[in-house]
Amino acid sequence: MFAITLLSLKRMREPAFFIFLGIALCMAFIVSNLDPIAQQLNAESIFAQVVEANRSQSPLLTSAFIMFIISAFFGGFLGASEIPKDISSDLILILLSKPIRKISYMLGKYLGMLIVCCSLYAGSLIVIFLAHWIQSGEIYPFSLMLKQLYMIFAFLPFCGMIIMISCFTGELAAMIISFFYLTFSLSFSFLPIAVAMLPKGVAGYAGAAGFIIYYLFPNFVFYFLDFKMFGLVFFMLLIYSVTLSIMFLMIAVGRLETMDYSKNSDL
Amino acid sequence: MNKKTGLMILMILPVFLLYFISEAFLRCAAVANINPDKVKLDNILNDLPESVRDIVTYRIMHTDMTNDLAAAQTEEEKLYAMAVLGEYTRDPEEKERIFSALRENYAANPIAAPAFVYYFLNEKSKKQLSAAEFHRYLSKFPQLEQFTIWALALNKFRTLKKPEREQLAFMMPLLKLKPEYRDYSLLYTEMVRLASKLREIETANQADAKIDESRFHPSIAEILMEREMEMMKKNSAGNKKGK
Repeated sequence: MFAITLLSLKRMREPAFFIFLGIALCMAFIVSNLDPIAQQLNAESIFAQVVEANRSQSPLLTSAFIMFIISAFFGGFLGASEIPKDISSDLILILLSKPIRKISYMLGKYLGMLIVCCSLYAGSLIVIFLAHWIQSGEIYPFSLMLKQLYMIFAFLPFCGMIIMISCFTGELAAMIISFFYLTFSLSFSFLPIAVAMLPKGVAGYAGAAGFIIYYLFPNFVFYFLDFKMFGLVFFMLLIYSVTLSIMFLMIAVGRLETMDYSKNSDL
Repeated sequence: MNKKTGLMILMILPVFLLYFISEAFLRCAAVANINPDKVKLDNILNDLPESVRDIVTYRIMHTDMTNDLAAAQTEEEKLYAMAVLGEYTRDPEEKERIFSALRENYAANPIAAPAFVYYFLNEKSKKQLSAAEFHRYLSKFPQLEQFTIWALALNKFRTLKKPEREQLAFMMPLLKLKPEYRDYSLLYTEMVRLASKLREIETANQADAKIDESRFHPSIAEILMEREMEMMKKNSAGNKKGK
């Protein structure tokens, strides 16, 4: 599994990764002075209240939020091509003919992509914190820095999702489908919260039908929740992320088990 | 069932269980963060996916209208609430029930006009109204009220995508009318457009003359405003006397 991860990480030496890293770090410096995200939103909106409930006393920084999206985008862009590239170059046949199980191969790829995403995000966060220190002469409180790191949890299902989609499609299609899947998941993320706020019975069958669709997508809004650090919500968020990732990876492994590799080969 | 499948099921079940528990917990945590007094209904609706938002908005509006109908005290209020609900509802049975009641019980009141417009040219209904029957219904009202009903009926023609010749034929009684309000010029302009398109020059000329005729009269909005001002004056005079 780790050998596969290392193989994926070796691709980080490619110029594409350094270009993305450079862009991400420049972006991080540009957006480092933005106000916390709750101050950018309409205080009456549901999202603003979910993000800022004065539970942790540490706001989510807009710059961290932007860098999370950019890191996910770049990480997804690099990760989506991993498995399709192996399949089209027939490398997957060599790898799986060794005593490497499909699940180990999948976990290796997943871990590799997770490291890429996390390193892009962590690098951006370091730039944000340093830029703040240089510009204001103050260091952010430790709890606030830790709070920004919570969003790393969101990379767990995100990477699983990209890996799963890339098992079914080519690299370009994987990126496009992932984008649409993410858009839909964000669109349905507020559904349960909004339905809970409506008077009883108003949502009716529309609410029930919406819930069925809602369960087909990960809810990324949970990662922006304001909660006490290392409490029950933290623990549940971890479980949610891990179980969701397992589900995505299981679908991906199922796909690899039933796939005819010769049909997708370029050779 | 082989060992591998059994193992997979054994793994899937706790994963699903944990997923649903954690999701439900996080959902509750998200809802707990929200102060219901701070959130407006519009904000909640804006956060719903469009397909769900439409259904939920409909249900909220429908419930409000049903409550208004139940709370109506005067006959006028009840009639108005029925007309609004009848027009808004998407349930064909409810629509039929409300409009049928309006048609039977309030034929003389212009507020019930949406019911007559509903039955006008409605081929699905046994109680369908023909153009001649609709003209007879229209003639019951003074021109002030007639204008809105004409507009509703013409809108129905467009909704049903009826031929323009049929629409022009329906508008012909307007030529016999002596317009009392400026607003009628809109109807005559439409007649001119249709008649010109259908090469009915005589009709187009007649309608054109009516446009000039109607332009010398006040608009319906002006008349209604005047009436309202008079009512307010009367009311304020009554209040002063009372004091």
